[in-house]
Amino acid sequence: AVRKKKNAMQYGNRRKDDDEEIPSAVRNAARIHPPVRADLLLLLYSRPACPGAQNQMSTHAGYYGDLVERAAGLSSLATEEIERDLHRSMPEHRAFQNETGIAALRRVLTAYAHRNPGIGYCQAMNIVTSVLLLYCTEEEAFWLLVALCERMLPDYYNTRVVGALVDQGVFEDLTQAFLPLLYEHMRDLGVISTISLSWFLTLFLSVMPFDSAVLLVDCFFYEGIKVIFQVAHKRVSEPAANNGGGGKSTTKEFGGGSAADCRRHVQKLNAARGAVLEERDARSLRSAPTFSFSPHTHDFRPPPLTPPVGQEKENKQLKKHMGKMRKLSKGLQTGEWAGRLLWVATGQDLTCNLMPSNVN
Amino acid sequence: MASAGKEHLYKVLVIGDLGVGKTSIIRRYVHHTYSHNYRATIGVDFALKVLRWGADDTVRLQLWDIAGQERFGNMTRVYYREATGAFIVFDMTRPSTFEAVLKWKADLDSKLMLADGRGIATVLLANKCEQGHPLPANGLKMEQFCKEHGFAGCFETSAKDNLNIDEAANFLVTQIMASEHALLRRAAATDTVTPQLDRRRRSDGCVGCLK
Repeated sequence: AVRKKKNAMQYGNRRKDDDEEIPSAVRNAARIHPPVRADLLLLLYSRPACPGAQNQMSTHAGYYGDLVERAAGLSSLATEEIERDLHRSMPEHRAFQNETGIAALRRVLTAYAHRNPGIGYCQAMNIVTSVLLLYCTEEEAFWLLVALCERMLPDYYNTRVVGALVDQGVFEDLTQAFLPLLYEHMRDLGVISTISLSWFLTLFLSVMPFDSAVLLVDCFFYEGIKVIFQVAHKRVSEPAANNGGGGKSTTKEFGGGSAADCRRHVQKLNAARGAVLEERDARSLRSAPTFSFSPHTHDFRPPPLTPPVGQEKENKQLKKHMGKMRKLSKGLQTGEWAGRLLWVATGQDLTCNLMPSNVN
Repeated sequence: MASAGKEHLYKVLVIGDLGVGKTSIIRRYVHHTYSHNYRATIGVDFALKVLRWGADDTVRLQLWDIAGQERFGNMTRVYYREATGAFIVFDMTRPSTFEAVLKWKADLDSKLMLADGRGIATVLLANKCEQGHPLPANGLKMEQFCKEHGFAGCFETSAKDNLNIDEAANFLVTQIMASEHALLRRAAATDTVTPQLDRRRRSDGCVGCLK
């Protein structure tokens, strides 16, 4: 506990000292919620699955700066592609509508491409990195990207996106096991595992409303890829269930959910999350309970937990939290996205109702 | 041949290098909008365009917007499946994207062909033509280029200024229909049994052992 607190304090101090380094436009425009930002880092850095991650930045002081300097002015396919994508990462966010934010994004991505030529630059890294930049300093964003590409999602972003494809295969198997009808239909349409690729590569950031997607990213950094599997599964199972139910208008169902609803949900979730974290802090050193998740056994649901007595409450909290998370991801899709999914999943032409496509 | 009120559904691929404007073209065509700020497409994206065709027919175009980055290229076989037409897009301001056109065409032809062994109807789009640069293939006649490499046609388009996109799409639909008809005719031709007497064979031996 002491070490963790100490770390937190160090980050806190360092952040203050290095404030100059943070592109102020990014910070201001993003209206950072400090707890969220701190959470994101703490969650990752204290993650048992990433031994040593918490030290990586402090033991490599100056590494990022050097890398930026060395990478500057070099030109390669990666830098060319990065340049092309800088304005196509989070164009709707003010932080990336000016040169300050864009330059920060450029530096982090080129530094990473320089560090790891085996990955270089893969589309989707730009989207994830721009979100990280909203909540962290450049250097932190860089180290989070390192953790993401090299430990949390190994081979996801390499030159043939092998890791991501493997997980699409796993997701396909899961769909077959749990939603055989949907699976067959999607297979016939030839779309299975093609539609879900971007969900995994961008951690849903490219397909969900920003507010909910960011929360999902938090959960992801805490629990790993299984969260993405769970939400993806939920995503395909909902429309299937609704369609089977007949009567109910799926279009209406998914079109619902205003921005205000979204915000309320997020606030609730934040509060729930805060409580969980506080408790975790109080319980300190004990590593976080993790639901065992093995894609190979096709087991989606957390197995019955037989936790040590002291952890029971904690587990309940976490379960509750995950439940809320799933609920959130359920009701908040934009009509367009859900419509598209339905179209793909059911072959029904719902996109016509949801997207402003015109009949000439 | 076409009966009244016929519905056609075509899967159309939109491919080309990263950042040539595939998404912009689709947005312009389907939603009639343009923005500088589209997100990079990851994997594949879909859009649907409904066209009234002729007097009573309806054409539904399922547009598959496919990510341009090379590392997603090993998935194209899945994306191409059962497509009936394709746009290959390049950026007129960047010669490298034009050079990649042939790579895309070869990829398409190697992974997808019609029942009669020909490639699917493919139209070349020279996008961002509003930026006024001359075609990168210096002096080369585009028409000749298209003929040589099996493109049905070529259009200089601008998603920004809405130039030629509807025309290109209509042209592609015509081409798709033409190859569809050709296939139907061919199928009809092979299904028809035309009994005829083969005197040469008959003289070879037993009547019952025609082989």
